[in-house]
Amino acid sequence: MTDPTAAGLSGPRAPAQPPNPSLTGSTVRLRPLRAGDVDLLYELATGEGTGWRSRYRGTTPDPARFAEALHHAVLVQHLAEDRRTGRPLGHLVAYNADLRNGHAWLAVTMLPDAQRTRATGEAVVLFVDYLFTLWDLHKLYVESPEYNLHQFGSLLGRHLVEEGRYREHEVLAGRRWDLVTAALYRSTWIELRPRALRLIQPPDPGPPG
Amino acid sequence: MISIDELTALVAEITGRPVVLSADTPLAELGLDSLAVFELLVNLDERGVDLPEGLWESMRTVRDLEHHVRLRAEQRAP
Repeated sequence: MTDPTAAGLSGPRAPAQPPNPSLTGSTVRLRPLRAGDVDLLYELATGEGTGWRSRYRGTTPDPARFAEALHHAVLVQHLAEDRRTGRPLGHLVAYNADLRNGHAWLAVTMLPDAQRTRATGEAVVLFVDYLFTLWDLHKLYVESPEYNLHQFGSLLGRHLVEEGRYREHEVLAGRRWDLVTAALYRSTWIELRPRALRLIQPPDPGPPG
Repeated sequence: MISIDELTALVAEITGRPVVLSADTPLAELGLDSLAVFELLVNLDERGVDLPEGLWESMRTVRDLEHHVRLRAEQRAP
C-alpha cells in the first residue's frame, strides 16, 4: 500500500486519508445533545450520587437558567449512551477552549451505575480521541477536588500531569480539600491511543445482506 | 493466561501502590477508579484475556477473574 503522504514534491500528491474520529465503541455510543436531554442533564447535575460532585456542588440551580447555561463556553458536548439499548450513561463536555494556544477543559459526569465500569473508560477514550482529532489541542485539562480524585487518580503521575493545586480550596464534610488541575498532553494520547482504541472497537457487523 | 502474581503486579502498576491479592479479594477493593478499570481491561486484553461486554461488571472477586482466565485458556487449548 502506498503512503499518500510520501509522494515526492515533483509528483502528483494523492489526497491523504483523514482519520475518522468514531463516536461508537463496543459498549458505548456518544451523540450530540438533543433538546429533550435537558431533564436528564439537570438530574445528573443535581441528583443523588452525582450532584454534590458536579460544578453546582450540591446546589439546585434554577432549571431555566440551567438550560440557558448548558452551552455557555462549550466547545463540544456529548451524551454517552449504551450502544445497544440507548440507555443514557453520562455527559462529557469540552469547555473553555483556547484554540489559539491549544488547550481545553474536560468534564465527565457518569450516572452512578456506570461509574467504575468499562463504559466510563470507553466514553472517555472516544471523547478524548474526538477532541484531539478535530482540534489542534496541545493538552486537555481536568480539574477535580481531592475528594473526587478517585475518578481518575490512578492516571496522575503516569498519563496525567498534575499542573496546579489550590490548597484547602473546598469544604466538604467538615474538612478542607485541595483542588487539583491535571493535563493530558497530545503526545501522551498519541502513545496511548492505539491500545485504547483496539479494545473498544465495535463488533464487526459482518457482511451486508 | 495470567497468574494471580501477574495480576497483582499489574494492579500495583496501575494504582501506583503495592497491593496484596488473594482469590477472595473483592474486585471493588482493588482501588481501581473508572479509568483504571479500563486500563486493566486493556492490559488483560493484550495478555489474551478478553472480557466480553458486561463480564467485568458481573465479577465479584479475584477468584471470578481467575475462573474466567482459566476457562478462556481451556477453550483455546487444542
